[in-house]
Amino acid sequence: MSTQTPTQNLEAVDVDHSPTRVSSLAAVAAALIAALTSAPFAVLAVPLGFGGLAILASGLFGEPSRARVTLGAAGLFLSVLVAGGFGTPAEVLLISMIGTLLAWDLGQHAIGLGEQVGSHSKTQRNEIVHASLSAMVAAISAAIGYLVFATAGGGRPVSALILLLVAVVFFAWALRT
Amino acid sequence: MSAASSLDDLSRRAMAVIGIVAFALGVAAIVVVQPLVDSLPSSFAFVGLFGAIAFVLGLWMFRARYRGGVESTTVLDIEYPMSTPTPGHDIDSALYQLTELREGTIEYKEQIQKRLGEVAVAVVSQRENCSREEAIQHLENGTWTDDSVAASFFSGGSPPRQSFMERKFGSGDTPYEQWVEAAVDAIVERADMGSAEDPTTVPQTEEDTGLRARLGLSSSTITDPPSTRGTNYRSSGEYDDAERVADGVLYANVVETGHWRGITAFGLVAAGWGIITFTPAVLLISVVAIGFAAYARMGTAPDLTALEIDRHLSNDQPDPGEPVEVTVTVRNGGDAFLSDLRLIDAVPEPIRVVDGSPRLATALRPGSQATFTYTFVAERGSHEWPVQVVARDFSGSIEREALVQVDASIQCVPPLKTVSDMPVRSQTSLYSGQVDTAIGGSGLEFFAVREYREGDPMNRIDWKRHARTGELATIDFRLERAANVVLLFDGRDSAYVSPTPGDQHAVDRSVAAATEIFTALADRGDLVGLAAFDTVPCWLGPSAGDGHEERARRIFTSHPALSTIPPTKSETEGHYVDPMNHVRQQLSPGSQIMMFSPLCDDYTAEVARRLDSAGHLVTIISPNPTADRTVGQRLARVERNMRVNELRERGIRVVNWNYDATLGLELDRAEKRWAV
Repeated sequence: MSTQTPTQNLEAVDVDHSPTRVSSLAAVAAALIAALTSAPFAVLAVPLGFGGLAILASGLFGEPSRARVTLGAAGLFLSVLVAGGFGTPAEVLLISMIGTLLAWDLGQHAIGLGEQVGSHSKTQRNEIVHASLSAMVAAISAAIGYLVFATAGGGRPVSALILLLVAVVFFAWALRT
Repeated sequence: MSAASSLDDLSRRAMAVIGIVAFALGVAAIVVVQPLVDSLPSSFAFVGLFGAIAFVLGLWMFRARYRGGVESTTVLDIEYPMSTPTPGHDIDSALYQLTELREGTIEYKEQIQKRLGEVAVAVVSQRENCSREEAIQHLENGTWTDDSVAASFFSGGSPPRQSFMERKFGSGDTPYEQWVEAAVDAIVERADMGSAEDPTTVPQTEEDTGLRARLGLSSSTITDPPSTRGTNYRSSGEYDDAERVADGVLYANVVETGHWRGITAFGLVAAGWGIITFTPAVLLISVVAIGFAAYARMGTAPDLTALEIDRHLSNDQPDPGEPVEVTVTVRNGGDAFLSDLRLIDAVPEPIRVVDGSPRLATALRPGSQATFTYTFVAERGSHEWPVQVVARDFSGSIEREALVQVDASIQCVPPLKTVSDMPVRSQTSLYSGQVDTAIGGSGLEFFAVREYREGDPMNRIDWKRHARTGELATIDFRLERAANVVLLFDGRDSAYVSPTPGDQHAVDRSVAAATEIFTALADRGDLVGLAAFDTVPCWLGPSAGDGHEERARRIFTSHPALSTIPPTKSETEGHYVDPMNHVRQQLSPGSQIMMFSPLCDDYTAEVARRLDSAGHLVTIISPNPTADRTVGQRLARVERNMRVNELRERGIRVVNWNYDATLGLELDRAEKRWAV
């Protein structure tokens, strides 16, 4: 005896645009690695590293914010630079840097996926593939760099460094990313 | 523009070449060639200069990154049903623009003043039972209410002053808002005294705030235009420049997402810092950032032509409100790895998703496939919709949007079933039926005994009386005739309203009720027709039979005038044509009218009055879409109540159908009232 069909009881689902879980967790894990590896050789890096980690996490698990993820990554990056200044070994420093950049990348990916697809949907496969691709690229470039660094050994000519730096500057300008 | 961009391109290439040469020389200098090293400058100042340049450039890029956001394809929240405004939203938005945005101070004030004035006059003249002039007198003198603030609204006063405490810690309303609110409250109070019926309060609070929050509405006074949520891909002009690349695949935009924008900043700052401070390890780590920068540059927009999407529906002819389970399977039929694939099954507005998610983010190797499942509930109509695909390259710096047409579509046809009995009025056709008339003849129910007239059938002669008295008399039975009913719909833009934004709107509710009434009447042998006043003519003359029912069903399903999607603005604008014209031309004089309208503006009431004057008996079934959350909504509710009262005074029957009640209940209630 009703025109009120069952439609009334079937509420629309909630669309959840928060950052997706897997990437968010991976980003925080990467940030944690970066903070931990930059910490032991320089006390000064500790507040920067863990501060960056906290800001990054707040940008993912609080109100989603790309600006805060970038800010957090910048904090982590500063802690890496400081740690480098205090004589952290190059190997540890590389891991720190990879952690920082992966945290930045994955954090942004989590926010982007949250906006477009939402965490109410299945997104794991995409996230895992994205994270592994990024990790692979980081590992490969770090390996190449480390190889050059190691074969060069100590006491290399300054002029060669300049040339490399010039190359980096021009590349950066050309790529503009 | 193109010259500039090509120059830009050229300079980029030149820089890249210089970079490559410098890199090669540097590596060579480190690893092998001693003479080369000797011929290069090696002063400390030189090194420092380049370090500083790199560092500054890096910082500048950080700033650019922090400012410039990330671009990506917009994906709408297709899960939600379309939202329709609540009556009174125009007042609320006028008030909002006036007080919050401080726009159109004069026009909006005039508009609000006029609306309030009209309602107040109607209320006062009805309640005081006086003429219009007297009512205006009352208003101007401020004698219509005890509330002095409200009284001053029409007597040329000014907004009440706020104390300092109120301004700082009060509700945050401006004095003008408070003034309007006081006036509306006074009108509401005045109108409700001895009102024919109390409008039930629509339950709201939690779900309502939830929905509003989802809509991103911070203030309670703004109402969302229906076009911002949900989407209709066929009518939106957004995809006009889309390019058809393969059978059923439409490429829309390619976007540079800027996901990696700023990555070189990390590299430059690290390199610069490493040089300045003479720490090779810091210089080394810039390699990771440069690696990512190159990675971000490598990608090209992914090719989606070989994507195979298949949609399976558990039922492609559901009743309105029946859940349908959808399984979408996507397969990568090409030979490239699609590393970042986002699929959104873009269901149209009248469909809402009730379980699962119509979206998927995945990655597909060539030949592999992925599936997602969700459940939706549809409203009337035939719906077909594409799958929106957003694909990114490996690094995520280039994004391509495509629409893939999928065959599966649904036909949502309202069932014609009898549930409640519809009381019709005494205007009838020539055909026999079930409406009791006040005329004697052949029938079932005893009506009268009259003198015998020649030609009266033998079986109706009162033989007992003849035996007793010898006179011939004839028994008359009540003549039963079929009614000739036209169901008339209000399908104009203004009828697409609902008490809360996500609710079923008045047109959907009207049609749902009409499908029941249609069969109820047809089963009784009445002749039923359909009509709507809208810019699109809609007319089905009163008739009966199976073929007729099928035609009616088709109109209910997919006639544009009764569509579940509100008419777009472009259809309603332009030169004004009275939407009733085509109905009036075809309406036969003996038809009674059953009108479906939320009665949210004067036009429908005017139509009802005119039809009534033309000799049609009019019954209005009016879903009540009003709410009382905001000032405008309360005012609209009073306006509507006044309209209903006025119509009832004229002898037009109005069934006020509240949203939380069933139609059967309201009809029972109304019938009791009419029987008195």
